[in-house]
Amino acid sequence: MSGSPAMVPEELGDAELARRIGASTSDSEAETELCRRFGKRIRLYGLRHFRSEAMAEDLVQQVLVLALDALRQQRVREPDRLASFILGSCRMVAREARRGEARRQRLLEHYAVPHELAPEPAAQLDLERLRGCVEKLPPRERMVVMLTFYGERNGDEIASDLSTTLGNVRVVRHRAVGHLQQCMGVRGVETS
Amino acid sequence: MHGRSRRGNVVSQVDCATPVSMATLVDYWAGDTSTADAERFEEHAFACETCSRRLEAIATLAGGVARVATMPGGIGMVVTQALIDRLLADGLRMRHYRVQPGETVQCTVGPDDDLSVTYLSAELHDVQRVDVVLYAHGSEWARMDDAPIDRVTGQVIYTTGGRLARTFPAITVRVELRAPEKDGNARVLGEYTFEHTPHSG
Repeated sequence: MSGSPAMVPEELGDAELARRIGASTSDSEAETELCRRFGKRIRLYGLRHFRSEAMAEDLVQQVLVLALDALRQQRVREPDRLASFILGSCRMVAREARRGEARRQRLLEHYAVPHELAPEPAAQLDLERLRGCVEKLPPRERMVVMLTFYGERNGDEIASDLSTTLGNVRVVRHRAVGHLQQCMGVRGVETS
Repeated sequence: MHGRSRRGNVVSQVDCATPVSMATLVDYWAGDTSTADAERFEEHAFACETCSRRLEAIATLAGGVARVATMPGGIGMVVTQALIDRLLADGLRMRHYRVQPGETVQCTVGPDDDLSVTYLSAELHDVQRVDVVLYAHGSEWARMDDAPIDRVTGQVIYTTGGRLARTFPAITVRVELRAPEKDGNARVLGEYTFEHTPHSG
């Protein structure tokens, strides 16, 4: 193993992190860092695909367990592509979840990922402030973000509802999100 | 693609030299990307802390918007019938006022109402854009320009938050539905009168 025991896990690249977990069954620092690093990404994947907090949290648990198991057993062939491996695990577990397979309980019985390793819930927004920001949006922007994020309607459906085009819905939604971020003081997201 | 940590070690989580656009993030989160594009983005986001954080910011905002929709006290907006149905299913309390051009409606708001929902009917088949203008005491009080038309019902539907409506005194509000024309003038599609009485409870 390349000698990095003194290095803080947060500063390790994915490949080195994978190697450290594979080199020992008790490198809890490295395993904690793996969970911290990928837990939020897995959760976002779950939210995007399931639109369910509970299912997203389940996905985090299952994928981290699978990843830790594979790394400990040195079954990750390309440690340099750890992120890709974890994404692949997300896709596999999500497919299985959709098929209703009951693998979760079996895995969780064998591997209990400590609760504190799971990612924290999304940062709480000041909802009163956000309400004010939503109310400041022009009517069309307000309606499109509500239909998208509350109504869970996709662009084609919204375009049909409003007799407009998907392209127009996207432009309006993009503009609305920009206005909300500006109003909420969110920075660092915009990259055109 | 990625930067280096302060110790000079290559880490995959620092900066991103090829950040995806915000439009891509929003479209991805809204489910409006092709499967191939979504998978390509996911490959990037899983290896990039910067872009996964940016996506998280979008997701947090989107989740917040969804929560705002059902906050007690309601929110004023132009809506579709589908959105009203969803709000009802989520337990919001509301009063409904359906009006035809020229009609006068008596209205009020209760102590527990989250929303007052107004349905403006008019001949809107060939109309591309409408503005809703509200008058009180003879002058313009509020307006909603470019108000979306619900194509399913053929109406303009808007809500007033109960919290705001409970602050209204006894007042008569005249509403005009207008279609702006190319010459800068506006064609009035309908006029509606609301005689609001504060809730006595």
